Amino acid sequence: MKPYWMLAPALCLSLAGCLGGGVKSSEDPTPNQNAQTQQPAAPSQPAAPSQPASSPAAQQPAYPGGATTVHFALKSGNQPVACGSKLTSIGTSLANAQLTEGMIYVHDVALINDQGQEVPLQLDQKNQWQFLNLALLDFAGGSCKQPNVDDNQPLDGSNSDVVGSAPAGRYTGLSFKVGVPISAKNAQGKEIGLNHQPAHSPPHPILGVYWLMWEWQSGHRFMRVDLAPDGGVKRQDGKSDPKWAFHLGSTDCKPDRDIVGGYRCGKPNRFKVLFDRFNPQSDRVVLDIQSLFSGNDITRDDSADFGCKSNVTDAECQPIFDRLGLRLNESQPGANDGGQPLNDGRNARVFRLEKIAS
Amino acid sequence: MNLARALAVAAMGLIGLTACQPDSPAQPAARGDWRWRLPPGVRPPPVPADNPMTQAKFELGRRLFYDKRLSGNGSISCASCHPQAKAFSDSVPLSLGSAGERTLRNAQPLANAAWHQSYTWANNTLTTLERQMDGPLFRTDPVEMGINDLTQPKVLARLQADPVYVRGFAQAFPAESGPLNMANIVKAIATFERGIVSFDSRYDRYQAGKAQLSAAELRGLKLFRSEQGQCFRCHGSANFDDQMAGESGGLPFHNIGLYNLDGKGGYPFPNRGMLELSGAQADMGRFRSPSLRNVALTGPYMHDGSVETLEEAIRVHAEHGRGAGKSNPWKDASLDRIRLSRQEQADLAAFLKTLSDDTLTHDPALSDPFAAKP
Repeated sequence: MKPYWMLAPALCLSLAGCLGGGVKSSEDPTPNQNAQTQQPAAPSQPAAPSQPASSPAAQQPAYPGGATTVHFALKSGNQPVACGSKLTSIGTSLANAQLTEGMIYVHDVALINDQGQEVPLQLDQKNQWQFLNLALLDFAGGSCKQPNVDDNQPLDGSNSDVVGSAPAGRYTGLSFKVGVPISAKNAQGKEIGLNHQPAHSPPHPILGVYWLMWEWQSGHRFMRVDLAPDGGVKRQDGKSDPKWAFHLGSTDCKPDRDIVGGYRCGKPNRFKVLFDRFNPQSDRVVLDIQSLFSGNDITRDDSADFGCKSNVTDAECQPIFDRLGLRLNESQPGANDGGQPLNDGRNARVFRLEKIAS
Repeated sequence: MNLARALAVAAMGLIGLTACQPDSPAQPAARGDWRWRLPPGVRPPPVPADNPMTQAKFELGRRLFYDKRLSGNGSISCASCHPQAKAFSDSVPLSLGSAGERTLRNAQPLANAAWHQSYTWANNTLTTLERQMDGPLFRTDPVEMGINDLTQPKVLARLQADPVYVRGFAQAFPAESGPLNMANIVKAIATFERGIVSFDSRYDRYQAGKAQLSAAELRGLKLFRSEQGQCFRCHGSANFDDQMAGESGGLPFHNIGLYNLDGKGGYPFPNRGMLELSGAQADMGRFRSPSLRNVALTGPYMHDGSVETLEEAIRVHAEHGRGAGKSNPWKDASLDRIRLSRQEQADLAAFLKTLSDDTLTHDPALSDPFAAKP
């Protein structure tokens, strides 16, 4: 696989249709960006340099450009996890649990240069886990399904890398967004609908993965981390469920024929993650399950909807949304700020960087 | 359609096809051959531009609708929960999916579904039949048809192995080189569903001056249209609902006071109406008003099938709700304006039974192609 994708940037020079093109502003419905959408205009907003010009950041060696991979990892504390991993100390009850699902969509992955500009990584369009500016990370992989229970399997294998190319430059940071955009531009500059395209005719296989379809919301699950705690999840009625599931996705959506992508959502539930100090050659991004669930007790669920399915009426969603830096519901009726990020992405709690060697 | 026009259309199709795909065998392009059979005053329903009605697609969709091979484990078809004899609704409160789980809500009748402006009981994001189908085909919790990443290739292989389908898809989608895929399965079934049209009940014939209604039925009709009955508020279109394309505006949903779990209007999870989508408290218990066409055949009633008979369904309305639900704060105000005595409720039931359409339930064009020929 690796030699193949390293050739991709060269191939793409000759195949104009290969690259995703200048990806931008796929968060908001386009072109009618109106006052109703309060998403920060993220990609064009320069990240303030975290160091003064005389600091070591200014002496950042020039990056030659070309094939660039941003590595991700799913961990529980410091423990690397894969499908079926036994996790410990999860949530407020310090539960033991097994990982049964770990998938996340990221988009608008960008390197931040020493001028504070976000330079989009041009994703390799030959990579089966990527489409336009969107990548699917599946940490648990095909083996994680429970065939007897779910009669199901996703795409073969696992993926924890976002693979693309970047121009030469002096890069100091990294940013990316969690979720599937409503639309994104292709290499010809045409806007292509993504999140709300029908499950029966997805624009790309990564948007047709059964376990991430969210057909009742006419969209996709952006992030799916399902845990099976030892002893199950106790319910108020005395019964128990096998899993405590976290599903993030856009809610409160309405069709809008005037925008590419066809829908506009009251609670988009997409958010940005930004690291001021990042070296693609030595750093990777870790999604920490212990941190994600640290405010929840995964061995019980007193609400009607078990786990958290991004439902604003589900009290169990509040801690986990707090961890993600997302506003679960409107701050007040009519504020229209539900599902919006609470910050600029710099203070991510469930994502952190670590050295690849560690 | 007259023969000359049919030949002209077919010839035009051939020219276009030859230009596009010189290597593929010529198929008559099936287009422009669909005719709506509608009473005066009813305009054809909206049809997506990328899925025009054709006879070939309708026939293909009919076969798929009745084919158990379309479910992941081959155990059920669309018709399992939408049988023709019940006006394409199920006769149980909650339907049985392919994995043995019950659906969350009552299977709705499909007659005149082409005119619905939204689908299922409470989902304003589902505005086409094509879109709605993602639910029953792929839904996980609970499983309905059980198509998933593992079974989808099997389903497609099963159909591909049947020459009737190979031919059927080629005829229905003549411009495509590999037409047997999920997207076209959905298009064909949606085309068949749009063709499930019901405007030939005794009521329709009475309207056309071709049938008589009894005294009780006529009293019921008058009550239906009256302020006293209020029925027309939510069931006033030619399709006896308030989301009929061409007649109704917006996407209204209504709380009719079936539950009030917590004194604050609560409906039981996960059937809380539009609130499940919007998260807004005012949407608690708000569901789409179903069409009353063929209503005598489509019991049990309500989103959860919790009302067994038509008479009971009328009584729930006439009593301004059910149990604690009568004081549901989100209840539609028109409920409380209903004034119907027991006799008037009976008259109303008599009228609603005139909406049963024997033509629909016996139409061979809508019937099971796999059924043994008599």
